Amino acid sequence: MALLDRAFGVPVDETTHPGTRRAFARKRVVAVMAVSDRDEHFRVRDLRLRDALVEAVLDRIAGELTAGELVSMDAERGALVLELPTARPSAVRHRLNHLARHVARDPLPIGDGTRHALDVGVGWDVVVGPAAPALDPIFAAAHDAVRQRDLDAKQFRDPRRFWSGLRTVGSQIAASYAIALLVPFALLVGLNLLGLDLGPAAYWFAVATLAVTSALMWSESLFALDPPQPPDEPEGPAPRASAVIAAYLPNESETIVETLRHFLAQDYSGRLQVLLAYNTPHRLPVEDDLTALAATDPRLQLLRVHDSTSKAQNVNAALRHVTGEFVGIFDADHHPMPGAFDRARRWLAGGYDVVQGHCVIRNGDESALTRLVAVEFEQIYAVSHPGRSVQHGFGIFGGSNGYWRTSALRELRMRGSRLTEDIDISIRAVGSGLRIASDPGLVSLELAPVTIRSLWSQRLRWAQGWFQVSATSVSAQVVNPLLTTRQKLGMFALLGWREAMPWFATLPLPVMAYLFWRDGAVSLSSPLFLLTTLYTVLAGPVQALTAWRLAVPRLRTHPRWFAFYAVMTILVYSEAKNVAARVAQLKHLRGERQWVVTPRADGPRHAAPRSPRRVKVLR
Amino acid sequence: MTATIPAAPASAPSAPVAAPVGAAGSRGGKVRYPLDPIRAGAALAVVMFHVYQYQFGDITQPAAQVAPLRMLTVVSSASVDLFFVISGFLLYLGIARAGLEGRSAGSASLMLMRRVARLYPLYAVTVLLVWGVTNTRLPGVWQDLVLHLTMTQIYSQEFIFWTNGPAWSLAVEFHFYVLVALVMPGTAWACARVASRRGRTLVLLAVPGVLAAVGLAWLGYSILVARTPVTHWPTWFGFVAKAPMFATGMVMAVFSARGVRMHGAFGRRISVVVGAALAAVALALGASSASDTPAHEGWHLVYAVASVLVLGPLVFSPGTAPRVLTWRPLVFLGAISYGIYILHEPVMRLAGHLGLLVPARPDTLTVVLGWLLVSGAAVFGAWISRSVLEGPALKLLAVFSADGRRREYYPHLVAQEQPAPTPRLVPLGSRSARG
Repeated sequence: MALLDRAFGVPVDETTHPGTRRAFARKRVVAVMAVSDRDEHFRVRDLRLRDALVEAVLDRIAGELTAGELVSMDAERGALVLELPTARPSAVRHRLNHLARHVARDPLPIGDGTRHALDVGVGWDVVVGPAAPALDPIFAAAHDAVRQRDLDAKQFRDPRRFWSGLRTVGSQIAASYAIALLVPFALLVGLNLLGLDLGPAAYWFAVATLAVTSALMWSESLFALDPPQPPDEPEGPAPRASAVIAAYLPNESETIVETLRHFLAQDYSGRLQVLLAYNTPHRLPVEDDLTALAATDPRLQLLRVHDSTSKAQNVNAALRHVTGEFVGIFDADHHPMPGAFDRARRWLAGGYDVVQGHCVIRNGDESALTRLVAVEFEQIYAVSHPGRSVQHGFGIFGGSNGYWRTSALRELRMRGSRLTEDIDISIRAVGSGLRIASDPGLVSLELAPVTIRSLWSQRLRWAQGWFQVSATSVSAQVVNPLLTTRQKLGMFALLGWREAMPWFATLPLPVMAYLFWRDGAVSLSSPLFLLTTLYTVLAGPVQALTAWRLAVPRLRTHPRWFAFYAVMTILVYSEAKNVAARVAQLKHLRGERQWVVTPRADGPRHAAPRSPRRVKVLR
Repeated sequence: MTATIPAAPASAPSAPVAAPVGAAGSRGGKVRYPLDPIRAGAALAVVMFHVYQYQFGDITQPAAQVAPLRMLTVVSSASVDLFFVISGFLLYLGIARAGLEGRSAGSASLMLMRRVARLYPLYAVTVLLVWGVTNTRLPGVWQDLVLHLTMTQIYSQEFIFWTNGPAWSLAVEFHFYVLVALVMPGTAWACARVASRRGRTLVLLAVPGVLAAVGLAWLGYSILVARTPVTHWPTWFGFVAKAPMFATGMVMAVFSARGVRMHGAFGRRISVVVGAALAAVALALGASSASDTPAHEGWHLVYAVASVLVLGPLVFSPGTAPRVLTWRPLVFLGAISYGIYILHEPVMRLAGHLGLLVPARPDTLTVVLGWLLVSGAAVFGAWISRSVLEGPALKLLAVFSADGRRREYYPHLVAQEQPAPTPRLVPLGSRSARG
């Protein structure tokens, strides 16, 4: 690290904890804390101001260092370089996130007496040996983190590609069935040939897993029948509220003006700020309309997030401009019901930090597919979310039509590195002791995907996002001392059991095949087999029935839609979602869509662009 | 078994359940009776009798006729009668209170639904599971399944005790619930048209009066005229034979609603002492009398009277429950007493199947040990059932509003909802991870 000291010209003693003893040959963590080169309005800062800000960050961070930590300044690139002792990746990330939050919490004062709100980002990696580490990729990771504005440290990783043969979705589907069907069958047969008959054990294991899953679904449906009601209207004047509408404008240009008009017509008791945080690769004609609309109503603010490629980045960027005590997060096609903000306020004034509303499909009569999705959304928002919030003792933020205490959202930020930043922030919120309510009466209308391809793509991403969050969170959450036993069990059900079930759902087939191979016949006339099969198969239709009973009035008048959904669930839809979940896990394990910084052979290195669809479609 | 009885009910009808906490008294305007711990004790007594019966097979054999074990027969029978008296009291109390005020106690169908949601899920699951395990090939003995699921096994000489023997008393209880639901509107109608409190009391007493008269006539005919064998189960274990017990509880409910109180400690003690003395006499004579004659069935009437004397100090003196009934373990057992009762026989059969309950030479000690084993397992099963089955199933009631009508979950939207024109659509490739 001598190179670092020389290169950055900052006396080590000024920025090193007194107890630090440097051992250059050891394994250590090297991190880069980069500062945004744009202000909150996306105006480019001049270099002198940027350097002054970096120095201010250095001053602020120096007091936070603990034993074994070192920070230096790279004046040339306008960033800080930190050196930390090695630890578990999660601990390193936690530490770096703490430092980033410490820097970003309050505006930074600089020498001329001005104060500046700042976006910082941290990239890091583990380095071994005395030579100066290759900092470029870590810088690239840090700059990507700045763009995310989620205060979440990004570790540089070499691109990984496992199972290079499984490139197409078709091959991944085939592989998922091979793993789910052939592997258990081959295992049972192989063990049988070795003299070990696990048929009965496998049978009862399959029955037990399906029974537990069905029990959770039945119980979820029952709990949903009695959803928690919002607390009473709080006394006193209504506080300021904000609506943040995140949009990828090329996708939403036809609906965004209508959406904004709908928001501006909201009858909130207090003052409502409407903030459109959008990104677009090029200027669009609709931006003129938006500007004209904003000129007529001062409550509307437009924020083009120039370096954004995701909803999380848009929301994080908008947080600097939010003036409300609480903020509703919406997608660009949402039409919240009249009085939505007043109803949300009741929850937040009643001790909750977040309340998730009920997203209702408004184009259900468009096609069979939208009917299916419309009913499924009722099942999700009128049954699963409220049912689970009682069953598990915590709710989930679904990404849209969710209302946050602004301070909580500012603290946690959305992470663009997550495919489902809503689930990620939900788990982090609950894990840190925040309370999330689910209110099916807090309705907002939205549009459903209209093609099977877009639906498949959506569900694949949801599934992979869930798996991404589950893989990184489940072990920590089930032992999280801040959670009650019920909540820990809920975390296990949500992040552990839920991910495993798509693999177990088809287990009866290989087990039956094995029994047939072993005995030459399989008896299906056991009453217990019939009863357990009925119990399992009916769980889906029971949820559909419950969804119909709990559906909003405009959908409840279509009982055939629900019957159609129930039949489709049994025949196709349930297994299709299982396939999506299995394929998503394979994709994740292959490293597809994983956050990757790809060093380039020439020029400065940047965060590798994500897949086109990820960039193009804003969630 | 959680419910409270409103002191001045506006909408909530009565339910045959007692308070989950032991303290009898008033909380938030609702009188709470610590009857669940008593039911727990009664359920555990029934468990012991069934273990005794299971271990000996034939309880008329000499080894089974030792004094402490013989008394189990009486204690078990008296316990089941106590259940019926308590049910009669709790179910009729709300109706009696409302009737005395000349108004309706609420929706009869909702009252019935409450009973179904509270009791039927565990009952049905147990029946289905036990039937599924004990019938290995379809169609199995499907008649047995149908009778049990429809609570009509009490009319079958062959199947009444199949699948889950103790479940017969649940079938009897449900017959009583249906009867009460049927008479509720008529009672309310009549009470509303009678001006005096005395007249309304008579109206309210008429129902248990008729019930008791029919039951006594049935018992009298069966014992004295038909001399029906004691092994003709539908006669002695049917609803009509048990009607006097329900009627006893209903009469207590009417007097309690009228404000009859045992104010002095002396009166309460006298009641308990007399009840205990009567129970002792019943125990001694019942256990020593020939149990294979129809006349033996008459002892149930004595048990009903003893029940009144035992329950009287609790239901006529709210707020003065013995501290033992507020003891937390007993309160816990009370809250899960229904599960203990329903689950104990399947648990006992499973333990027997595993060889844990069939000693070579059964005696009093093996019965006690077996009782501890079965009770422990049944308590565990009941606790689980309470958490994962019975509690969630009660949520079914939430689909009704307080007046028994279909609940509107979105009253704020009903006025707003109008069919919206389909907007122009933009394909949305992905949205949030809804979960």
